[in-house]
Amino acid sequence: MSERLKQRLKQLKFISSMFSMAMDEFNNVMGPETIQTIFRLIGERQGEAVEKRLREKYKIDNWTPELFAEKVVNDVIDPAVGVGASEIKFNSNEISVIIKDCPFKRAGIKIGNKFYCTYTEGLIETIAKKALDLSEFNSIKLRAIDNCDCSFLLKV
Amino acid sequence: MSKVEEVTRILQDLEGKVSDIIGSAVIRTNGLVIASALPSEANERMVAAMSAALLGTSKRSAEALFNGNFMSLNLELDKGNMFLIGAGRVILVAITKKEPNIGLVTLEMEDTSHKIEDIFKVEE
Repeated sequence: MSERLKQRLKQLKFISSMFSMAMDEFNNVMGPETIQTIFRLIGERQGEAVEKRLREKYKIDNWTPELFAEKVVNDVIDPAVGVGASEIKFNSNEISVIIKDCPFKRAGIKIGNKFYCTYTEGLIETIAKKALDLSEFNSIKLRAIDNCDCSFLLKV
Repeated sequence: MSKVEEVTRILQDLEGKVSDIIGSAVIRTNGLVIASALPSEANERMVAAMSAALLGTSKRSAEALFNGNFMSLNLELDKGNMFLIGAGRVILVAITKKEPNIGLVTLEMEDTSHKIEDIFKVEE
């Protein structure tokens, strides 16, 4: 690894550590409900923007569950968690989104408080609401509560 | 009748009983709306998000000041009040006119919160 990359990595570790400490203090002062709400709102806003971006980028007139799966995995989840770390399964009117890695955990950030899960929930639910006729969204498993992956069930 | 319909009817009953209440909602502690009977001009999503934030800060204040638990919150504003009360796994929020009858509002909100708590009780 080049010296420049090592230096950049050190800076990113510093920012990640500052972020983690800031979240701990926000949590101490304002409580988990506040932080979860903020992360949820960020996820929703991002979800709206991502659906619009994907629709325009790929010139999608009508979303299908298959298109949703392909674009969400390739353009949204893979860049965040890595290629092959996510999967989308179909079963009749149900879509399961499975994410096998957590970029926050990998960055050394504590994930037990579920702050970052509420971001992911808001993101995926909002994209699905905008793209598909979503009737129900449930978080089935979360790595934040000691599961080996995160799993979200969408009913359309 | 679905849970949401049941809660919406309870909120409408509450507003019928207390004329000072101009809007109410039941929200999750992560700021998601379950049911609401808020005035059309209110931004439902933001009212819910701010309610969850107020609950979070109030709970932390209760712990820091008295090592206690959150019960309810009355936020007095120049154009009306905002009341928050815990209802088990959810929060009941009411927005009132200026200078409401606080005794009546809190009494009816307590009764309503018990009904809502029963609806969302985890079935064993």
